Amino acid sequence: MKKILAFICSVCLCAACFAGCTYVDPDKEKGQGNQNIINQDMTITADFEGNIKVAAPDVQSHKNALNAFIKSFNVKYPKITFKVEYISLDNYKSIVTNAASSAINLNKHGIMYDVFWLSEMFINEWVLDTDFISPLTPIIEKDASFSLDGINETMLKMCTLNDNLYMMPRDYNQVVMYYNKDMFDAARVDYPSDTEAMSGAEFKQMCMDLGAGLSKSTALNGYGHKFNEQVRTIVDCNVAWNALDYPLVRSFGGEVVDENGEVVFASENTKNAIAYWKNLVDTTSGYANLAVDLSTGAAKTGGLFRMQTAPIYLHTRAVMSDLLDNVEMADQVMLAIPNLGVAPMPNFGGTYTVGAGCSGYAMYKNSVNSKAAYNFLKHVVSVEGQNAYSETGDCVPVLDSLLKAVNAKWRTCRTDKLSHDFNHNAFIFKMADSACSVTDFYPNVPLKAQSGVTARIEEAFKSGIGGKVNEIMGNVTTAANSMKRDIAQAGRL
Amino acid sequence: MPKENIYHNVPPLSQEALFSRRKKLAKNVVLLAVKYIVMVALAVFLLFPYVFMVSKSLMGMVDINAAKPMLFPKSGVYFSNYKVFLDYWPYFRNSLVVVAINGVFIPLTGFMAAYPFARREFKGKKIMFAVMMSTIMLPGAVVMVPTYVMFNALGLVDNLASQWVTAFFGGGAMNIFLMIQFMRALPKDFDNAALIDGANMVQIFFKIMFPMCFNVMVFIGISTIIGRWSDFQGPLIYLRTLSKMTIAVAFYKQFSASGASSNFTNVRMAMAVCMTVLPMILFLAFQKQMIGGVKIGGIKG
Amino acid sequence: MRDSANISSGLVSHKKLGFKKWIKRDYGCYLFLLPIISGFFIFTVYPVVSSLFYSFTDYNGIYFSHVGFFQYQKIFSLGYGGMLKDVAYSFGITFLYAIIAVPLGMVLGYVVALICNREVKGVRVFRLLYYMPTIIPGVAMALLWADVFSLNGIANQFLDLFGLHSKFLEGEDSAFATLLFTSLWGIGGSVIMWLASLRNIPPEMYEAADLDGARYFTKLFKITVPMSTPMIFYNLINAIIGALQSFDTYAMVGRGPNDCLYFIAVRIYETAFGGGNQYGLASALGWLLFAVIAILTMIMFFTNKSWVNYGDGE
Repeated sequence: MKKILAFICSVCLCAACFAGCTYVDPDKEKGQGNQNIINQDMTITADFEGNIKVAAPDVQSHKNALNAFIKSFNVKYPKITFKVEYISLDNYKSIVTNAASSAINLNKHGIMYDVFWLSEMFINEWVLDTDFISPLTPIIEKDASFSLDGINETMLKMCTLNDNLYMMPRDYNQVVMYYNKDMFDAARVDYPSDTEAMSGAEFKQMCMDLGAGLSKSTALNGYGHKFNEQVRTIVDCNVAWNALDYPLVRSFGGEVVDENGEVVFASENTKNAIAYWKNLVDTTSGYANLAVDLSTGAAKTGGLFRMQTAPIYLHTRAVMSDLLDNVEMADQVMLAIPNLGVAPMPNFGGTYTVGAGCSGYAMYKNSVNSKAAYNFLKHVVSVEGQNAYSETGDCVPVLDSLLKAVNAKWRTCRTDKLSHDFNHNAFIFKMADSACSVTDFYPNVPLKAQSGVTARIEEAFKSGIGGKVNEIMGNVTTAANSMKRDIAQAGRL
Repeated sequence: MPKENIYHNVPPLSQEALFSRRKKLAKNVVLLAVKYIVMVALAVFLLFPYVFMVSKSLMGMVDINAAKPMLFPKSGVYFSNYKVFLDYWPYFRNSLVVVAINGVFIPLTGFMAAYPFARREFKGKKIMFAVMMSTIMLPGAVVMVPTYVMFNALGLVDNLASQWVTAFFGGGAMNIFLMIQFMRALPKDFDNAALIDGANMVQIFFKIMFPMCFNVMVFIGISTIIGRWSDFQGPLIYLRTLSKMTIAVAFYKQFSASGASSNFTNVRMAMAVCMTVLPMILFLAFQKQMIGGVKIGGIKG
Repeated sequence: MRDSANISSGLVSHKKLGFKKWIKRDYGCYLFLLPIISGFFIFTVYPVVSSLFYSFTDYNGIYFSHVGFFQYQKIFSLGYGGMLKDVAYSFGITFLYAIIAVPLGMVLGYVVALICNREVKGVRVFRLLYYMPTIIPGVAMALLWADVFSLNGIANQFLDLFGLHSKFLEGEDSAFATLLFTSLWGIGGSVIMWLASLRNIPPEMYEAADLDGARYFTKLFKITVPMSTPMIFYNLINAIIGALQSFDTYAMVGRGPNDCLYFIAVRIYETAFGGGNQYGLASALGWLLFAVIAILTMIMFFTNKSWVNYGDGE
């Protein structure tokens, strides 16, 4: 009896061991895509019937963008239906990856989304590691009716890996300086220049003046509070964000990894970058700190600017519609910024660098609705699609023609809230020369270490700003050593 | 200390005796007063966060973002904040479904499992008991990953069923152990009499044991409900789309999201207060069983 | 009929009972046990064995491509390649939290139970009020604490009266202490437990002590405490094992500023589901935690024999 039981148990155990895993040859080439899909004819007629499954983050601006694209797409192809799934942004990456892995594992490709949003930072991982994005270049080469010529070079570069285009960019996001004109008026400070970037010293001086001026102002903000009672911070932003920290390091002349893969993060320049920002955080003028102490990672950025208790906000175009509209929840209203101004990012360190990124949509390599999906992606970069998205106000288009045109939709949208002299050029200020993103150094860092190294930059900033001034170099060196560890560890696997 | 008085008629006490008795009385009164003060202070301390939560849920946007934080709303009391409950109703419904199924079936299947251990002999009883008790020391973290893979293969990810499908397999070793202890203390005369009269196991189970164990089952049921209501790790792993989430996870996602909506602290607090209403009501309604159950679990341990 | 009744009630046990008779006698029991037996195999045996297997591979949800001890090597090696420092820190901080928070809660609960024992009127109301905070959902409390301890919150305003300022949950040095402070609100559960145990102490012992002229603290330490010890050990170890797996801090502080509150359960969750999909590594870490808890349980088993009570008939 016992022997029978023991035998059954051991059989179960052995069976359990081999359940659910598939062995895959690690040397298989990644990123090649599904040849069946690539080689088929992707042209469709106006009455093509189909259904596309789309994944996008559950954020209002993403929802607006997707709705704009879908609506304008359905004008061209009315019979294609969409099934959209909005996924919480926190685990958006892992959910999409898991869906792909389930689909590949179980060979049921309907599980995975045909089209999904992604940022250019995900491309490396999703192509070289869990390979499920369909390369678009071979499809485009066979497609006579479409070419990538009209798309801006900078953005195309961000979406390409190993000479293959993996995602269609949908907008361009460069960090700018939003400011509240009413608060500048109350403090009697001049608006920042529209056409030139301020230097680091000028920026600090402007913040000092704002602090001093607002501490004397008894004007009321939209909620009925006096500025001198409410303003406790001048610049609202989270500096430990890869769109701000890495460009800051670069603008002071520092770099993270050089072309040979050596970590050069622990340098005098990096220390100066962090020291500059720490100086902003520690200095007070009037009742306010010049920058908010987000070294500890509190991520509620924008809150102070939205509640009209901070005059400056560093972020991208993607949040502009958030700032221009009232937000309501259960009868409580968060007011829109009444007079929004925008200026180019200051040149903090001397070498002008601005954080920039690109996001867009990509196609699953084994998509069951590949024709409809590919045509949707083409629509995203078409003039109609870009104009439709521009109506929401959040879009800086990817087509050169639209970028240059003076009356393009993205410059003339939201006239209800934006004054006619709103400086739209700030969003593309010097983008050809100075735009930079962490993906610039990704080619020099092994794949598995990339996110680690990016996180170490943030750690250096957080600990540097949170600690004492003479400890900054120590913190930077610690972060650099961690980066070396990450790279060595990734190289081993 | 004065010796025991052996007289039946107690003679009047001397002046010193009266004085010391009064002193003792005074000491007792002071001690009692001190006890009460300490207990009240502790109650205030423990309940302060909840009161603060309710108070903040009634504030308006202006008070929430004032530079100096305040304890009580100054510019207006906004009961309208509680309208957010209507927005959260789908998540409430999901939570209610999960909690109801768990709360009913975990005590039932646990009871079914505990009965043979407490009352019957069968081959392999010792081994099974030992194995069952040893599962207590199994940390959830070990089984988390393979369970997820298994549920994924069964299509249960992003499906509310993943939260209640384990309810049908017994509620975990601790609950069963509790019931075994309880049942062992019950007198055996009833089921011996029934056996002699020819009842089989099922009849004994339902007609005799079930009514007697009602209190413990209520305790386990209510504890499970309260536990699952606040359960946040399980749904966090399995539930993906917002519409399928339970209340704890939906609340967590909304309040930790970085975006304009996370600045409405007062509305969030109103939501938090709504979330605490159900456990409170259940606890107050069933407090006899709840506190009794904690005693059993604690003492017999 | 009486014969079978005797046999089925287990009063007569035949060691060499044949297969058919065994099934006929016990099938009812096995039917009743079917849910937990099947649950045991599905939700315990299969995951545990799979998890062991995953821990030797680099399974990431889609496939695995290497088999070997490398995950464990990675966990236990120092220097450039290894995680030993991080894993040891996670275990250490979790252990520290368990070792401090649990006994602290129990001792304070004991003190409170001593204060509001049966002599005081209205103890039922107070008992209720003390237990209430423990049933508030953890996520709601997380929001509350995040607000109270925010940089401009009530707690800092209170400290401003004394001219102090603290970063509370957002500063590396103060986060742990703040976390311990918030765990104090859970003492309601142990208060009730101790109240019940205090009630079990026979009052004759106190009267005898009074006759002998014992003062309050003598009575406390010579009678009350020793009579409560049976409960202390078991509940202490159980609570510590529970605290070692605590996950609720994730809602309040995530990983903590600069990962200083990166508890082991949170680490396992993040390794598996936090984006990297490293199921293999997460399984290895889970087994490590299992080993630690098993050792603790063995200690409990060997030092307190009365805990183990096989289901013998009485």
